[in-house]
Amino acid sequence: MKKKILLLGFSTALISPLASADNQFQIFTHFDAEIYTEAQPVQAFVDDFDAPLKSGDSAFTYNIFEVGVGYGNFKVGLQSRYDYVLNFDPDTALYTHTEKNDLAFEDRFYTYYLDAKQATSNGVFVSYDFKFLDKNALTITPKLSIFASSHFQDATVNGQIYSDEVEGTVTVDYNFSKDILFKEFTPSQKPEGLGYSLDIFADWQVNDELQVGFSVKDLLYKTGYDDSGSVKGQTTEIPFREDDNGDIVTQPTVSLQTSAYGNTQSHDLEMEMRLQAFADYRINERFSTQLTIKRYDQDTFNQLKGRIHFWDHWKVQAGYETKSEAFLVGIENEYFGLNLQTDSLDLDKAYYANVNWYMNIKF
Amino acid sequence: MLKQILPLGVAIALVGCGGSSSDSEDTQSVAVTVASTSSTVNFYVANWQPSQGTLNVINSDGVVQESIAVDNINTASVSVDPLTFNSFEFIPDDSTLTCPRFTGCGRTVRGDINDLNENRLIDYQEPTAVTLNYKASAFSAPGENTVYLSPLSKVISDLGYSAVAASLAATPFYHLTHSNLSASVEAEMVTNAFTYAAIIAGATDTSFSVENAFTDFATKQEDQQAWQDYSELAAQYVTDNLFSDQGNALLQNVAGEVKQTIASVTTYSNWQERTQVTQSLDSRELLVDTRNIIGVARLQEKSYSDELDSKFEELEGAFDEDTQQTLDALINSLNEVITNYSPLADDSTPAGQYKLRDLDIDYSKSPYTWAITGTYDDLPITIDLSIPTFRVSGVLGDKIEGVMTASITNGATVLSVDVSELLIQFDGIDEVNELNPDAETGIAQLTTNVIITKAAGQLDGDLSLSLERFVNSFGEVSNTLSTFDFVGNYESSIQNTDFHITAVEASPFIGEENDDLAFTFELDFPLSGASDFKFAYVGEAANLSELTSTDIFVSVQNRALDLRIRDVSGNLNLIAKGENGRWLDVKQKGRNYSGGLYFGDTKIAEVTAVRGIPGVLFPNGDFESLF
Repeated sequence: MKKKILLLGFSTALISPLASADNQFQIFTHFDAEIYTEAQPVQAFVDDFDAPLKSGDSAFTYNIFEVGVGYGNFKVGLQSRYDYVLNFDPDTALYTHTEKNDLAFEDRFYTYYLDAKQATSNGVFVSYDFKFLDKNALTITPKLSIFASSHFQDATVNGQIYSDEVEGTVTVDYNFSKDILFKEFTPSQKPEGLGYSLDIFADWQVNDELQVGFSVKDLLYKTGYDDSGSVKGQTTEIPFREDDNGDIVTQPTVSLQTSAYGNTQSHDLEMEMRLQAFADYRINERFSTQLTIKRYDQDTFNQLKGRIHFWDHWKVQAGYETKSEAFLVGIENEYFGLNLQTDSLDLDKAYYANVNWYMNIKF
Repeated sequence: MLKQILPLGVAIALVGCGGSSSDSEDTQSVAVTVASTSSTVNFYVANWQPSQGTLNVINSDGVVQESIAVDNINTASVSVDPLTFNSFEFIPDDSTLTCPRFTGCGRTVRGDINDLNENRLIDYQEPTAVTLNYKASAFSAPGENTVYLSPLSKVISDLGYSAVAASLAATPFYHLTHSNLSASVEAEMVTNAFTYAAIIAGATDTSFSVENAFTDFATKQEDQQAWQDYSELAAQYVTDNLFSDQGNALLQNVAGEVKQTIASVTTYSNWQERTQVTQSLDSRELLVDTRNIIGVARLQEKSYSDELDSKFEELEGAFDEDTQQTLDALINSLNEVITNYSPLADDSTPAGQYKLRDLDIDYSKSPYTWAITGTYDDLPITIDLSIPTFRVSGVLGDKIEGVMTASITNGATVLSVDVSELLIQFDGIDEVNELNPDAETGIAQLTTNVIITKAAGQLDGDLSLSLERFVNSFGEVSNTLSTFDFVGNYESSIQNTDFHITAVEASPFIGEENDDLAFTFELDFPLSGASDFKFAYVGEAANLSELTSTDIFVSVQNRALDLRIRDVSGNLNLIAKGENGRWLDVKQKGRNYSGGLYFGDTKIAEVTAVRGIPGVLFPNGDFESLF
């Protein structure tokens, strides 16, 4: 998955930027691919979970590609998204690591908790820049996207499992277009999903030196899927007992309501919002700095960048981000930008990677 | 040990296969199509009864639905609504029944029109004055059903009892459904036996009625002599046929099963009314029954592992070779002594001291007593036997009642008979004539109480056995143990288990005497979670520890299951047949499971595995793991 994202990013980056004149009308494209994993490096996380285990409880990747046109304050365009968000218990990571590497299980109950959401969507968006204050110093931009989706996963698995035995109490609430958890119940027809999302961006040029901004992505996000695959149910730790009369009472170890035999369901997928705030300070003609705080669900990333400005509107930048422990390098101007960010140049060992580029052609 | 005796252990092994999340092949289940079901019913009536007559189909409200004239009840077939409970009644056009016993049906008065050769005996195939009624009630499972009509099935059906538990099978002995139609020979033989007994009992005692005999037995009346006689005659059908060259050749292969079914039905003490539960096609009751049985086994493993293991070990030890040897020694020595030195052999044998190999016999007359000491088959043996009175029974022949004290020692195993009443009875066939060449054969039945003390516990029970006198292929009179019933209780410091063991010599004309004993075991022992746990098995005693290649019957909470588990090079196949014709077929090959949950011939759900855990996937998408 990561390889695909990076390949897409780099190949798109090879398209040379076109110079253009300043005008009301613009054509733009934008790509951002960000992946972050805890517990295991990205590569091992996606594949065999065979790297040394570190503590952690989340993983995500957000990928968006947009191409559009703008006129004045309006922008409309096409959008493709692939998002995957996973929260898990560190004990579950330990369980998975033990299982996948054939290590010895401890004789105890492991917490088993997974909350995963994944969606691929294609759609259209429209945004409008509302300008406020003197010299239009404050811009507030709502952006509405409408999209179709036929690939998604929405799973919650919660409970505990004893050692490597079929014993434990686990509840499952799983909706999907392809059954990757049980490998049994993929619907014969892909589900049809129609969804929307709303983002809000705010940008305030406080004075010549200071600019602050704030964004809420997926402030609202909901996709309704028809004919979705689904598995809901639970396992029972001890499926038999004696009642007061001394008679045996049993229940199935596993009982599920599934979408097999065309018993598909309607399902709404919702995503968590992502918050981001920044403060950009122009130190002098040549240098500026920017502090960015990202808040994705439970994880907060603080990023500090330094920039060197040169020629006309060109800048190169470098920075560091806490939590992901990633370094960033980038080059940007008004028409084109490319930023790369990772914690390790050896991609097998990287826990974080981000490729971001944009291009604007103004007429 | 548990896993050997109860193949449930193998079933449990099916449970343990899940858990790993390694990728298994995507196996898309084939959709289960619940076709519109239909039921047909075929019939069987023992062939002593002329097969032409009227078949009445009566619904559960007692209303005759159909009345059909049939040329041959055994080839008749009717369609009924599936999942309904109906009674089927056969009224033969010709009610005449001929004597079914090769040795005849006893004495009769001079001038009896049925005594065609006027020898004052109702000989084999001579008409009798007996008439019988044929009826049975059965739940119609989807697909083919066969209902076996006999006077006993009529009484049980009329009284509304459930015969499932008594039959040691998932369905009553007079009803087969799609999944167990292969047991038709067994069912026919059992039907023959119960019909045979009704004809002979009626022929020898005109006041006999199966209805009264069974009612007295089921309601535990004091006088159950009529039922005793009927039961013995039913059991006699098996030996009569095995020990005659005119006998039904089909019987040999199912002798053990037939013997066990007859023994169980005729001694079952807990007759309960059949509960009328409306059946739905997609009911999951069989899954519950299967889980309950396995749950009971797992409950023991979990909480009482050591205790249950040692219970089974003890039980297997109790029925070991040493025990069998002491019983053999008792039976054979008694048989040899009585057939050689008694009025039954030749009344001219004088009283006195005799020596039979390593046995010293002190035989005296009036009263008849025997003091037997010495060794038999290298086992020290002491038997004191006295028969003060001879009694002549009009029904079954001569009965000899006596008192016996005996002791046989075989290492730590001690068999003792403590001043127990001994009953020996003969079938009354003592005259040889041309029309009755089988008269040379005869049956002696011996009943006594024995106690076998083992190192760990004690078997205490009533031993009942039949000795067959017949002319073997060398033209010699042979005495063979033809049947063996041992009903009692095994008691030790850790258990109190009721048992019923039977054996029958399945092929007396082939090989050595008693080299083909078909054994059956029925064990009733309370377990935690199942105070009424019952286990039954037909097969060689030596195969008790290899039950994965045979079939067993288990019941818990009055719910019966026939289990068959086959393990062929690690590929397991479990077939669980439940009540009313439901059955479950699970095949395991590696991590793959297949099979189905069926009702009669209709598949109602697919067996599959989810993450390695076997279960049943219903058409509505519900998945239930098997265990």
